[in-house]
Amino acid sequence: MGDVAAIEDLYRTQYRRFLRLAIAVVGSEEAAADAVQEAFARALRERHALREGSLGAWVWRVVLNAAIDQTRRAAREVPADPPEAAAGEPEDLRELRRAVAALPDRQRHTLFLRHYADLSYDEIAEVLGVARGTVAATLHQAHKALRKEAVA
Amino acid sequence: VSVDELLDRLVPEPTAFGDWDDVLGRARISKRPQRLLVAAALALLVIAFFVSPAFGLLRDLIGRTDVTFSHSQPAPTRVQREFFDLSRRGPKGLSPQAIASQTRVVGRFAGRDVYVAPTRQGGLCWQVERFMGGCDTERPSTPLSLGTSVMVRKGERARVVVGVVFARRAQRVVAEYADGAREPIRFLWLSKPVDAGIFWFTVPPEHRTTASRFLGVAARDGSGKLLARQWLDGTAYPPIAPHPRPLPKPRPTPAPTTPVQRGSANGVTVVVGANGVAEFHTSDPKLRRSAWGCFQFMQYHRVVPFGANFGPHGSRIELWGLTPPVDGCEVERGNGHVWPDPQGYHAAAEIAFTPRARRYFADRAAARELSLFVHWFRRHDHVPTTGITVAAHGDTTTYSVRSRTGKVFHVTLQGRKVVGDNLGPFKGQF
Repeated sequence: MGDVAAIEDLYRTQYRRFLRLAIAVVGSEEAAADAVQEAFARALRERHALREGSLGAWVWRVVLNAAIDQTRRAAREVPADPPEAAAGEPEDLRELRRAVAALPDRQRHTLFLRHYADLSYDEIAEVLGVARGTVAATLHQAHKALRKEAVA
Repeated sequence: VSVDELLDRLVPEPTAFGDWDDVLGRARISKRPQRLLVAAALALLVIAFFVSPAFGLLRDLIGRTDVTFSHSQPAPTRVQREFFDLSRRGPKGLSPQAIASQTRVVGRFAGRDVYVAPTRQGGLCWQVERFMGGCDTERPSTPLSLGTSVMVRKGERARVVVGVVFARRAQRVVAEYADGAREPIRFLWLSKPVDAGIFWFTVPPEHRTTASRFLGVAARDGSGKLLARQWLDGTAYPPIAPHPRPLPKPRPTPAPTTPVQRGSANGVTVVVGANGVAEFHTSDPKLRRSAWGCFQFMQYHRVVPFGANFGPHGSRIELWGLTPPVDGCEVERGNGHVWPDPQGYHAAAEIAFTPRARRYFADRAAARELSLFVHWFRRHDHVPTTGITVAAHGDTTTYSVRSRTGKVFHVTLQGRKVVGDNLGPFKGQF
């Protein structure tokens, strides 16, 4: 069962990692910050529901889900050409943004958890409820697709 | 360009801070009862403090504020680089080994930020922004360490004292004066990895006479037991006279005398005279603002270059402490080096007068590249190894760079832990 102090400690020590993950999912820092705040509030309200597993993985899952919910509400997740990126963004970044948006959800979220949240394969496996090997294979596929579409 | 680099550019690391109170509000977890209690307790304390003489001792008991170091605001990159350079430039054994990436802002003093970084040996480095700084590389045997300087403000100069307390039981820090006055000093106790207290204050005007001068600082525990006392030299600084005598004009630096050493590189020429004067010339205005210096190899535990007297403005400098002939001179860019460094790992101009200096420049550049690479690598997951040779052996990986002298520098990592290297005196801060 998670307690308030442990959740607060996660928030204070790793806020920027949570925020960066949310920015990657949502696409704007303002909406991402709101998603992180809402996620931690939800984590506090539902902390008694955590019976097993690590608190960290559970909170990461809550933040990821909150960011996805936020995106669904805005009906756009990693838009191909978000407004702030449209003007003056280099071509290679635009290509990458499109390629990331085209990835299947599972690949995209695994990639974000690895790259922006800086989680290990085991931690990602726990967050997403899949096997470690699945994480490795999914990341490989995501990187392969991005190299093909964005870096080639 | 790799996918990882592009991903980094796509979503750069944010710099925002979170608002925990907002989270509590959204979760409808109220802190009000606790706040009310704290407010009531504070009100009682304030009343006791000002009204009742019996509570006079309370002034001493509220001197310590515990701060969670990791929650403090990270220092700007510029400051982290200064702490990094501080450790990288020093010879082995003399380097403070500050963990630059953990540099934090812990407070403000006279309109300047106060920065603190832990060191690898359990000490700390501190800096009052662009004013003064110091390091206790290890936890010293005396639990109190003082630094002092003179600050000129509004035409008056005042002694500034910055101190570090290593005694964990310390609850009070008190400034002591020659007239018997005692003044409690507020101090911050910074949690691990610093695990030490820091304080700063200006000696007040009424203690600038000989009879009332500042003597030192004492640290005491909660029961008043003396843990440490540190005296300064007892100098009192009276106010500056309204019309001080003009300072004598500085003696112009003489020209280099024969026999001279002459050399040039990258648009910089230098003439070093037998009288210990070096004259630099360059047409590049950027280099005029750089650090200039010459060095001589000396035996101090191991051979290290010894630089002297950087003159950022003048082209002629006196090399105090060096007796020509020197081994070499150099002009180092003021902004330091990063990895990968598009401008390379050599100084902006390296002028070698001896084969040994030539080897030194080549080896230092190779070792610097590797050292900076390792520093970067340990903080980033995906780093291109351009120019670095990589060899995996079981669970360790060895990264190496070959110098132009043929010498191969290597660093071996197990995960992100450095388990071996041969960088020797070139080792910076990983």
